[in-house]
Amino acid sequence: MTLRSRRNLGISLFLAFAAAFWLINYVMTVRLRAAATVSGLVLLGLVLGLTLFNARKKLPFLPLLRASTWTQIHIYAGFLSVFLFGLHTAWRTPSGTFEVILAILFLAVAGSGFVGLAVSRTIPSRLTIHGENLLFERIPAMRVAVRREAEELVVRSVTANNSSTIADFYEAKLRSYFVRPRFIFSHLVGSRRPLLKLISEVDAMDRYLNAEEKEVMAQLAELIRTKENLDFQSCGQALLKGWLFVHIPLTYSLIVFAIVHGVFAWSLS
Amino acid sequence: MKRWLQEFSFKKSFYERPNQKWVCGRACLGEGCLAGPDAQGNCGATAECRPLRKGDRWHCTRPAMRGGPCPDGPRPDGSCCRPVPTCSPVRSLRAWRGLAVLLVLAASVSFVFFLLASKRGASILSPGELTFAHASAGSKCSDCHAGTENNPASWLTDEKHPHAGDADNALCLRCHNVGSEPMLAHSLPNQKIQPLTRAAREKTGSTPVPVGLQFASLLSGGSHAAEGHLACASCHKEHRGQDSNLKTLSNSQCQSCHAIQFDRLSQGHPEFTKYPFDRRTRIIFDHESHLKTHFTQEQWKNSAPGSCLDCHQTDLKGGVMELKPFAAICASCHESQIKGKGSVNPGITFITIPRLDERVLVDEFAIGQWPEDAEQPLTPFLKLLLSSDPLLRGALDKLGDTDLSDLPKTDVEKIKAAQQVAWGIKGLILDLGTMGQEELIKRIEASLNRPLSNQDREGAAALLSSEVLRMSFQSSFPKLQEEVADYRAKKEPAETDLVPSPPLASGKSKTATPDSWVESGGWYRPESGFTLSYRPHGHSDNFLASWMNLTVEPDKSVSPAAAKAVFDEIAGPKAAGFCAKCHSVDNAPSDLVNWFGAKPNPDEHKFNRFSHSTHMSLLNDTGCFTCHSMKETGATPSYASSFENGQRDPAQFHSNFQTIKKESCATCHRPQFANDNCLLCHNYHVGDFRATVPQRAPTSSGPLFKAAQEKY
Repeated sequence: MTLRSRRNLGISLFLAFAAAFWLINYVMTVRLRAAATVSGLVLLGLVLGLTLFNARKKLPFLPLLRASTWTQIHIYAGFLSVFLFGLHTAWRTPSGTFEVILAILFLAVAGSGFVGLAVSRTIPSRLTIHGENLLFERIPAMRVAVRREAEELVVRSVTANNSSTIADFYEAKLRSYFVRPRFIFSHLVGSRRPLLKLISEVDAMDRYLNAEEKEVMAQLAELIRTKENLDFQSCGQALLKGWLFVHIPLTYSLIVFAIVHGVFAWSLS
Repeated sequence: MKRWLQEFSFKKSFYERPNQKWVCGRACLGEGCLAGPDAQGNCGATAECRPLRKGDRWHCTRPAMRGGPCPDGPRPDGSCCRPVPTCSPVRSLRAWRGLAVLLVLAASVSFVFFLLASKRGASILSPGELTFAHASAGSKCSDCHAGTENNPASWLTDEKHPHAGDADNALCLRCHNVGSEPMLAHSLPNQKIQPLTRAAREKTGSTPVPVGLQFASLLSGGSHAAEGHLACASCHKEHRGQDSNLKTLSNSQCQSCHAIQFDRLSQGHPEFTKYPFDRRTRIIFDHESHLKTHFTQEQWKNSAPGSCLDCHQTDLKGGVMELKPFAAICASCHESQIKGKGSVNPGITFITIPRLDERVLVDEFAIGQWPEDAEQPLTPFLKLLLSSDPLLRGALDKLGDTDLSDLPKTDVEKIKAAQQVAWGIKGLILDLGTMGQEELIKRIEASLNRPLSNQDREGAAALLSSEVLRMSFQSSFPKLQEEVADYRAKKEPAETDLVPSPPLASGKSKTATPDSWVESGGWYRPESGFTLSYRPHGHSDNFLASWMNLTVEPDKSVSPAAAKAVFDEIAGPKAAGFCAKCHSVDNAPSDLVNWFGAKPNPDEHKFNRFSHSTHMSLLNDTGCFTCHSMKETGATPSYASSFENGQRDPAQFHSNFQTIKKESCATCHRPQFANDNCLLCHNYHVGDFRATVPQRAPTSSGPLFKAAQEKY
């Protein structure tokens, strides 16, 4: 199945289900029946069904469709749940304390889901294009190794050239750069301006350096670029993993609140 | 040449396991040990290798990614010569996420427990603010939700489980009175709704049903009406804020139960058939004759109203148009006629001494003294009063329409009856003279077969005085007391003796006639004598009103013919007071005289409602005729035909005005303009019930006023 056909199928199914739910809700509302009860039950069922995705990933040995299929179902079911939420609340802003909390939880989970979807569709390609793909868990160690290599270069050049030009420059401009992740916002928005600025400063030092020092500077520039890629990879992959820190914990909280809401709404209906 | 930081060779690259909970504390420095922490997060570092004994030598097993076998090799005891210092393991990313999940879950569950156990839990669980009418300082959940008195946990475990719709409905009805059958459609019993549904179904077919309602019918089958029970909360949604409207409902929701379904007022709503008229007017007023004939005459021009509002005013709620008082709108033309000014006989003959055939009423049929010149027949009032005695009632029935002045000589029964009637009249006059008004009331009650209210007593007697009675009859029966006493003692009746009439007062001075002397109303003896008459004082005369009320339903009296005769006497087209000229008589819901124009019952909730006051500003140059257009001059059947021949059915009528067309309303009541929601013009809860909060003072037609009338 191609990407386009898969997307068309997903959208078609989403629209079909959305139309069906809207129609059922309309008919029940017109007939003065408990439309909110029915939409609430369906919504709760849908949310619980969405959480099964996590369970499916923990049980890869079971023949329960491919994870990619589950992902597609999870995404479109997520969109459907947002639509159902609107139907259930009659597109009104909730006002009671508990319901406001519940709505915030739902919107936070849905919102983080949308963010995760957007992130997972954009960042991997950017990571691939940007430079060497690195394992997230190894990046801190690599950062340390790059910093050590840079420092060794600087120390060697001082000894070899009897000049502290590079060392001074390193101290002033590059130490803070190599010590920790830098220019996170720029990496998020895909800007290379800080890197270019740094490289231009490195290039500006050329007039003060002799041939050997220029070579050292060129190696330093290479290390700067390597570090920049490290930071970019770190930032991107942190985002790819981090959105789940919002999405998953809040989902459990949402389920607890939703069940409580459902029980009391049912008993007082 | 591009430089690669990462290596994947098994000799150079460590296998990362991000699913594990703990990671070596020195991994971030690139110095992570190969052992790694255990599942509990304890560091497993010991040495760089685990020496392997081959033969009698120990060999270093340090992996290639750590540099391969060390040059020093293991110690002779087999231990590695390069110990690795222990670290403080850190949680992996996945472990942190799991911890976050546990913390958030614990916080949520704690909050839920607090919610269930705390008394504040109810206010937290509340789904929103109550409307202004329901919100008060002391309002609590149990005001509307049964079984919610304690904390929320008890709502689920209490035996009085709150999930009982009827219990909640009962709480609503504790404060809200919405009819006799609040849970049924339109608060009406099925026997009232079903005929309406049948009638509506006969009209269906021509209007296209909106698509949404077609789907609703298709998918959900029967309506709530078919199930016969609709909970309050089905329509009234609370907890939507102080300013929300509990009575908001869409047109589709209203129509989902209806046999006739349509899109909107201007598209598909049934045509108005006889709106706004569902009965004839209570006050007989022919608009056509007044507007086109009477008001154009020279003598009435100055009294004619300039506009509809000169005679009509809105009620206190601004809904219905009421008539202004008689004094304000009718008196200038009709008062003098009612008072009988210029009339030859402005009074009502109450009691008269009839002419009897003295030739046959002799010997055993003697009647004692009797005025010689008595000429009148029996009056209806007299017949009614005599009917209180069963014996006399029988005598009157025997006599029927017989001319008492010319009795058949051979009909002994009639002669006997005539004698009984004569003595009955004398007995009546004596009793009235000696026992007064109480005797009159007693006889009326006996004749009508029911007790009289205080107001009826007052009206029927109309301050009759003994002097007037004596003046009317004393000269006719000089020995009245003795004769009647003897007759009642069953002694031989006194011989028939015609008493000559006293001479009429004459004089050169000009005096007022008896009827003109009581021009402002009261009892009098006419010049003709032998008669007690009453002249109405004017409009709303109590005597006429009381007697009309008492005799409007003659069948209930012991002598229906006599009662009917009284009614016909005072309600005739030329009767004194001309009451029936303007005040119609209905037979539904029961026989009654309409003394007032239509006055809205504040407790009556009809299917339709309309507010005149809100529409007043929309009138064009034609004023009220904008909506209430008159029929063509001379249209037949005429308005007057509604009241011809004493017709009493208010539903049989012909109005002066055309019925209002739906277009008149639909011109403005469209979605873009004045809105065409069903509830703008229609009530759901229909019936006669007192609203929860009194909306106006009791009216003259309201139950409180009527009760006050009865009492005082």
